[in-house]
Amino acid sequence: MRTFTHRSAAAAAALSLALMGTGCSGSDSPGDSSPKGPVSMEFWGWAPGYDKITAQWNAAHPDIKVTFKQIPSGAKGGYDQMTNAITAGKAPCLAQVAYSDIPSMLVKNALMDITPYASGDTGTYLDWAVAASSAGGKVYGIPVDTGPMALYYRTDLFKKFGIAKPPTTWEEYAADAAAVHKADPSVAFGTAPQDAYDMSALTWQTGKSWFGTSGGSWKVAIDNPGTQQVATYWQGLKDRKLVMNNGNAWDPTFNKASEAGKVMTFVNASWAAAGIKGDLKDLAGKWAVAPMPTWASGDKASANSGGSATSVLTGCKTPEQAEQFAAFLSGDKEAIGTGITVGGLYPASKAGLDHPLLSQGDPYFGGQKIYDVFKQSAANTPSTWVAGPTFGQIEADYTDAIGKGGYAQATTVVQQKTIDKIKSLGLSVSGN
Amino acid sequence: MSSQTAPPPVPAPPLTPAPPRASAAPGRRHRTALNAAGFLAPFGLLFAAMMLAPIGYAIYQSFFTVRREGLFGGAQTTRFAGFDNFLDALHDADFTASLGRVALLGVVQVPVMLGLALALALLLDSRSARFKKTFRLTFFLPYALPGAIAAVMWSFLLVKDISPFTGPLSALGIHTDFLSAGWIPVSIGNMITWGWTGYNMLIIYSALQAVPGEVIEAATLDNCTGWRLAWYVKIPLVRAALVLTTVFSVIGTAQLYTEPAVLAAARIPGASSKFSPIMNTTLNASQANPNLAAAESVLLALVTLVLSFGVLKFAQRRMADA
Repeated sequence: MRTFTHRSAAAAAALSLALMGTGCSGSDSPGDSSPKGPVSMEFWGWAPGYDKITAQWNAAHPDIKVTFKQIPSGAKGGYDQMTNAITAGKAPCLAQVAYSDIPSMLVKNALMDITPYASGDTGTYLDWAVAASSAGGKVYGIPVDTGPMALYYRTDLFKKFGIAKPPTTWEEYAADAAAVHKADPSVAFGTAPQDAYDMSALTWQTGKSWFGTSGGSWKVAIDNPGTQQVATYWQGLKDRKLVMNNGNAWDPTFNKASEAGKVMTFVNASWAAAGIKGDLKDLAGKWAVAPMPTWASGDKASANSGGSATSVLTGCKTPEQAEQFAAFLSGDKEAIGTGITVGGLYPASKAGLDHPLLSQGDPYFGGQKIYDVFKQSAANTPSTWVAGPTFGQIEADYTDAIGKGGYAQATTVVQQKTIDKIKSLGLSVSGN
Repeated sequence: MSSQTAPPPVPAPPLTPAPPRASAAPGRRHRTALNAAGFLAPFGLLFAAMMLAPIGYAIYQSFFTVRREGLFGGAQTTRFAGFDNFLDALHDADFTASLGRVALLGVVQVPVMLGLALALALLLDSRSARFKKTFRLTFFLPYALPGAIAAVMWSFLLVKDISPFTGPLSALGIHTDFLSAGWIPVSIGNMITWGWTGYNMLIIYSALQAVPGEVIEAATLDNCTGWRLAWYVKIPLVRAALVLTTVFSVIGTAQLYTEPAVLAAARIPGASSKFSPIMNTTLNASQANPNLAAAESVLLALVTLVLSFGVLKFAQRRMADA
């Protein structure tokens, strides 16, 4: 009995110690020599196609074995899994992190500085994507894909309502929307922005940014003239019932409206093409892609929504090999091809933009070479955008506030909540 | 994840405690104690590891805060913060609003649900009931469905343009959107009621089954039947089960998560990602402030403890008076 008690006491102590987990914060500095011989690493992500690309890597690199693990997307708990694993000392070496969340992962001490291994490659990726994966001159991720924005529109419905060509400016967009509403009030011309992703992409196009930095302090500028311009514009369309309230492809209400021919366009990123192709198979040949409408005619400014980098997580013992894998995922021609065909991932690699798969016509879009539009969009995305340290909070608060009231008011509310949140993290912050 | 605590249905506790065992010889008593310890050990260990340790850890965490430097935190130091996190939690308008929201929801929804559960249990127990097994299973079935699945199902049933209810209602001149900001608490109450009425009914029903036949017979001989039998005899005899289900429901409502989380994840305009207190703590934990989340969890646990003990004490006093 005594041994039993002792053992159980020891077990309880061990368990509670494990629960108290002080965590493995002993991150090796990148300068350490990496172990020789075969290494194996884990890679956590959610983008479709990553599993196949990992298999391609393993086939070509028998000495560096990477195991891919599918996790929920970052915003749906993926980042929590990563930070929990780091605390438990069981983190994977590699993980997918969206550009918008790299600063908040840095605040959680989750990412490793990979500048010594990556600095030679950074010139091969789009400049703004490199900037979005870096902080304070240090590289924290290798850019994989971007989400250049475009206007998706229904060619059949445009013909039906006598609209000759897709709108090139927001003014034309509003005019077309009004004309359609007059002809048939049950048909919505487009969809209203409904969350922080939509609002940030639309603001990005205006050349304004939600965040800035001065010295060691954040400047929160969510409530800026660009965002307010976007807010006023969409509030007008929403109030006149010219756009539907449920946003995107993969939203059941939107899909139902599409199938019934009750919605004609939506503005979203390149990866949304994969969304409608999967959800709206019966509408093949009826969708087409045009550049995102602009605020002034002749202006070409576009925007980006989404896109991820591959980061090396704190605690990784083999950051050099991890960076090699990340560079393969982003830059290898075959890997880029798999990303495009399986995941609809638009490459962040400059050379990848000329991938032969991107110059092919897509039968779903009536044979249109849709990637020509995305290439132009990516080239015209302003490089002014700065991501802040609390995107998860902004996302939650913006979505809630838009659901409760108008865009302008939501913007003011989120501005203040963001300042409060950054303050509560103990970081230095000021408003605009 | 189930939003309400769900131990298996238990019959009403016996009215008098079991008589204590006759005392045994000292040697035997020692061995009995050892045996008891042996039997209790698995539970005790798991309870300590899975309940006490996490609770202790949360309380410990709630008294610390992380200091950061520069834009991204840089070198982070943890320091003792006293009650700062608790003060922050009480000043967090989203958190306090969520406490108020679930309190209001509980005040309205719990009586409705338990009233329904009691009515159904009495109907099942009544002498003229037919197809008892079928009905019992039918009422209980929603509970068998995982909460998240049920919430997804209801969100499809309630979302405007797809809902089978809004069409006929608007034909009657009633234009509603069950998932608009104003209606969402009602819709969530409806989901919980749908999922948990059968479960509570089963607890009350099993208590009714335990009512001795001779009591009912005596009442019937005294010409006390139907409504009067239910009101004067059956309900007072299942009061313990009613108290139990009330306590379970209060705890469940305080821990509300699944239904509002599913609606928020589905991007329903009007849904809130901070609807319930647990949603607030989850968000804070994932947004680099686990210490604030720990403080909010401790506060929520205290409120729940006070409420459920309050219900128990109140009921015991009423029973003692009766």
